[in-house]
Amino acid sequence: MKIINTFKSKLGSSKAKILIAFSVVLFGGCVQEIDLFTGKTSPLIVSGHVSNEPGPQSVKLYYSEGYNSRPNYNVVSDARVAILDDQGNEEVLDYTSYGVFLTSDDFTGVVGKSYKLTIELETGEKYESGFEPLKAAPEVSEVTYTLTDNGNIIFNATYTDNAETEDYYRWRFEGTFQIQAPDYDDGGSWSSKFGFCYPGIEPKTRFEYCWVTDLDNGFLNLSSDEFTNGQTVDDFPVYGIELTKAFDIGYSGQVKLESLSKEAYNYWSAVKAQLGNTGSIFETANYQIRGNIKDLSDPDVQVIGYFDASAVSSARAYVDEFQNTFPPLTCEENLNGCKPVNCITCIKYSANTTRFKPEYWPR
Amino acid sequence: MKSTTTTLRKLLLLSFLCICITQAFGQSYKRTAVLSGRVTNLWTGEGSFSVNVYIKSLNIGTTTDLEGYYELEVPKGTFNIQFSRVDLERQLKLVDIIKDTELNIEMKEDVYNLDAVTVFSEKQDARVKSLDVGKSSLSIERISSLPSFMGEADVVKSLILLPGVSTVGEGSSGFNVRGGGVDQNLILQDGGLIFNPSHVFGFFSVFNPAVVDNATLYKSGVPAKYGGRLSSVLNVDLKEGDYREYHMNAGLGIVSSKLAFDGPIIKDKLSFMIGSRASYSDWLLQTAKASEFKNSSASFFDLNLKFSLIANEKNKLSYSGYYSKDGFGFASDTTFDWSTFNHSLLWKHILSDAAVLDVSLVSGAYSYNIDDPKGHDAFVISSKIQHNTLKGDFAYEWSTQNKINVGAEATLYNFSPGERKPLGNNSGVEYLKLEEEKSVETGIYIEDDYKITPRLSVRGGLRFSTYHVVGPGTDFIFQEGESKKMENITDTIFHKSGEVYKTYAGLEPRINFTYLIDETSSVKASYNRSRQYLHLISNTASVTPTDFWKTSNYYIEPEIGDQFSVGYFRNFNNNAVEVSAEVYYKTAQNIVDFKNGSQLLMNEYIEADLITGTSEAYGLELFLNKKRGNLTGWVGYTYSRIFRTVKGQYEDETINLGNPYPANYDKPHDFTLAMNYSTNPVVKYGINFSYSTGRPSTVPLGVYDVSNLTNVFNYSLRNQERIPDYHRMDVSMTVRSKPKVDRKWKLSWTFAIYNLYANKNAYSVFFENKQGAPPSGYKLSVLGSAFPSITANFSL
Repeated sequence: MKIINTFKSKLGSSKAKILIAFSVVLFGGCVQEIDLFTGKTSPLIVSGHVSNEPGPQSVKLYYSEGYNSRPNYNVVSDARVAILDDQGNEEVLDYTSYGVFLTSDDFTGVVGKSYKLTIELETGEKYESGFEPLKAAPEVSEVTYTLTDNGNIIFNATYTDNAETEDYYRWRFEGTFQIQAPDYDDGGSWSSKFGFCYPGIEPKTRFEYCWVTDLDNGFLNLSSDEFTNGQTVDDFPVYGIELTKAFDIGYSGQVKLESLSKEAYNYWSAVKAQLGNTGSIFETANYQIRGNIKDLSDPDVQVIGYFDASAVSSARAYVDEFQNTFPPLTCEENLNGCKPVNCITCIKYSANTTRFKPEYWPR
Repeated sequence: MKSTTTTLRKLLLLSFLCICITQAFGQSYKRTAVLSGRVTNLWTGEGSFSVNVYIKSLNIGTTTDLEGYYELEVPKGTFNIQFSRVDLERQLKLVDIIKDTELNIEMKEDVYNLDAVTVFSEKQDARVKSLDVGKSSLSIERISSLPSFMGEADVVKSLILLPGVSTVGEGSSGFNVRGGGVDQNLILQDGGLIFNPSHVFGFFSVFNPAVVDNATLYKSGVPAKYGGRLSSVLNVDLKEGDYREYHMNAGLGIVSSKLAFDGPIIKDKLSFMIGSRASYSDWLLQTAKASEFKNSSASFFDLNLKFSLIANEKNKLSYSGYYSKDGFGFASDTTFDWSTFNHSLLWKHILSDAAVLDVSLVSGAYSYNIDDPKGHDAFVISSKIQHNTLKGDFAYEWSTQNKINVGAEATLYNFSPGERKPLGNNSGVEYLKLEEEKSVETGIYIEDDYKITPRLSVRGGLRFSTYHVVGPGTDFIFQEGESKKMENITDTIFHKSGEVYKTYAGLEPRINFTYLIDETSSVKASYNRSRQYLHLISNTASVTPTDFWKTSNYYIEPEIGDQFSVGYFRNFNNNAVEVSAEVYYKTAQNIVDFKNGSQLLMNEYIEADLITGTSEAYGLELFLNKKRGNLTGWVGYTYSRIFRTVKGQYEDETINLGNPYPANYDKPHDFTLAMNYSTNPVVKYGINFSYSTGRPSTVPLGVYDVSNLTNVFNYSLRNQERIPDYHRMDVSMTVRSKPKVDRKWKLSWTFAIYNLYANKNAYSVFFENKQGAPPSGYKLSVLGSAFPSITANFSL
């Protein structure tokens, strides 16, 4: 199956190139950027999920406009949003900000129950998802990693599929690594001879350490037990990351396995296939993907998104074998006499950086 | 760019010069000349009396006297002179008359005197009076006089200028007739089946204009002898070699050249015709600056060969062979090639004055290969269709009021839908061969042309066709109560070799009425049913090398189409001007479409990804054609719609919520103009203009973020938006050598500018979603500028 996929994409892109090349070279044909179908407001977009991990659970409601540049997102703040279970219990979500509605902190999904989302907008429109079963997820017993020839680290998971059920999985990944700001104690480096370089930064300790967490943005890996029902799957490749300076001190990769319903799996599979399409004329045609949320007054109206329910199991692998194999940070002063901020303090590395050592960190 | 402008300037200068020359030349003319001569019998040498000598373009004529002599005063110019008598084989001579001219003709008995479906036999008032509805015929002269892309006269490109016939754009193969798919046209060249009518992704058609005699397209009222396709029949007849003289015809263009040679092998007995075309477009690619184009190649080649034998007065045999090959390589990466190989053997037997039997044996193959020789996934995919047909048609004329045609045909198909092989030792591609499909299609028909009253005629036909799928073969059984999906396959049934494991059969009634209101106007109506057992599996609008044909089987039922059409026809000005208005309504069942998100190429479980639905098409076609005078040509307008409905039992077997949606070639408004202007035999101007509504497309309406994913496209429902409208103008000028009666050779130059005002028509729109960047939409224009060309044609 994998071979067919690479093969397909190779073929698809070269075919498109051929027609373009042929027409460009022979007939002065051209490819122009267009501005054709912009300016339309999207249907309601729902990003909602319930899991058995500690709450709160969140649901986000918004609309988008256009696509040729970063679209405008118009969030919904005034709506009654609730999650219902199949035993009639209702959890009403509270609006926080940016279109996000949250459950109470102690609300978590329970394996075996089914959940559905109901939305009533201020304007009176009502939307409802179908009941999504929260299915059990097998335990991820081990996470290993391998280094590929072209310098990527692949994190693999071992788990045992449940033979009794038809199972569908979505894989997530979170990588955490340690960094160091080497020059923090160099007295003049955060304030240069010409002025103040980084207001608000104060040195804490010598050789300041931080931990950075990278999220799996844009990552979508799905699998099913069609060919592995009831088996122990060893070293299922989950996530690949380039071997970079992130591995200089230590790297902890967390693999998460989320259970999905068959319908949710089909939905995310469709999204995945389309993310890989360049949409050229010879490729598999793109189409409108429909989720499980319906407009109650007109079932033909599109609602974007899928409300799914998952049980989550996770495990980690710690990678320290590439310690000190990378050149140190270059901490040269620039024309203003400022050194790179990462040399002064590590907390400025990214938004997901903390000075607190995570509890799972081995050393 | 600079060189294009320079070429253009030179061309304009040249055309200006030519205008001056011809005008000066024109002034020295005396206005009329006398054409005279004698018509004699080829066999006896005696004069033939009462032979009609007729100049169609002037609508003047005379008849020969008892000794076979004739005389006719004509304006100076170049004319097609037609010699005909009901029992003699009609002859057509192109003569340049610049002074009093003598033209002697030998004619022989016409042993094939029943109505043949050819253009030239058509009478001036045929459009009004004949029983044919929705039939368009183009002679090669007409085709050649239209401005054409790269100066190459083209059968398919000319047909597209007629109302009811359209294409999805430049660089697309095939054509659509009255809302039919590209696979719904039965395309025959001398009886040989053509699966892909295009060269170089549709920039040229497979018919060599140097050997084509005429092309006839039936949009409705298809005679019962044709079957197997829902929408139309395009019948292309090739020239027969001359039995007495040798002729040579050569054309030199900027992208390709053509050559045709014909003449007798045994005088008055056996003749040959050979024609060939080859492209040399590679040099254009080599001049490209970017290195990745330098190793690219595009080429085509075709060869026609025809032998005709008049065995005796009762029997005529002919063989027509065709080979064509196309290749396209991109920067020595993926290469595509496709080829057609056809042999037709035709036997015409005259049983009596009123009865003719035609028997044909046709054998052919269409194949394609995709090669990707590089990397760890180097592969070659090949696919092939072989077909062998035996056909017999018998025509009998009870009386002038009543003619009957009966016939039968059988075709054996052998499909190899796809075989994928790894290339080289390092390739990780798995070998895969899709199951071969064997089948037999048969048809028998009876048809009667009957003139009920002088005003009312009817042609009634009935065709019965059958289709048998022959083993070895496999059928997958899908779980009951579940949709057809690979994972729902519960059982596989294997069929033995030779076992007929699925049969379809059905009647195809056809009826045409013609009612003459008066001598110059008529109303015609037709009803037609057709069944189609072969389906082109494609998710693109035009024919591409990766599309493949699939036979009907357990899950894919034959397509059944019904068409009703009514037309009003009227001729003015002594048949010089034809106008017509036709409306049609078509429905079809079991139209094959594909499930959302399906991968069609090399799919072993293709039945699980195909779904069937219905289609509904209707339209209005208005046509005005001026056939004589300095200005000739036509204006056509078509309003047409085509919708499909796919409403399966399950959600994945339903498209667009089960509501009707436009097919991807639905173009409601289509306007075409094709005109020629000429005041003297030396120079002729041509102009084409076409406009059509942009075709439907599935496009992203916006983007959204969901879960950890950003910039996910939200697409419209299938074919819910349209690409921009299409419009284009072409002009041409043909300058011929100064005509002389005693000079055998002729030379002409054609200067043409395709896409005169350089409109960047969209061929398609596509969208790219790059990770971490805003998504963008692009428009691909196949022709980005005006495209000038020069072609030289030489004939002897």
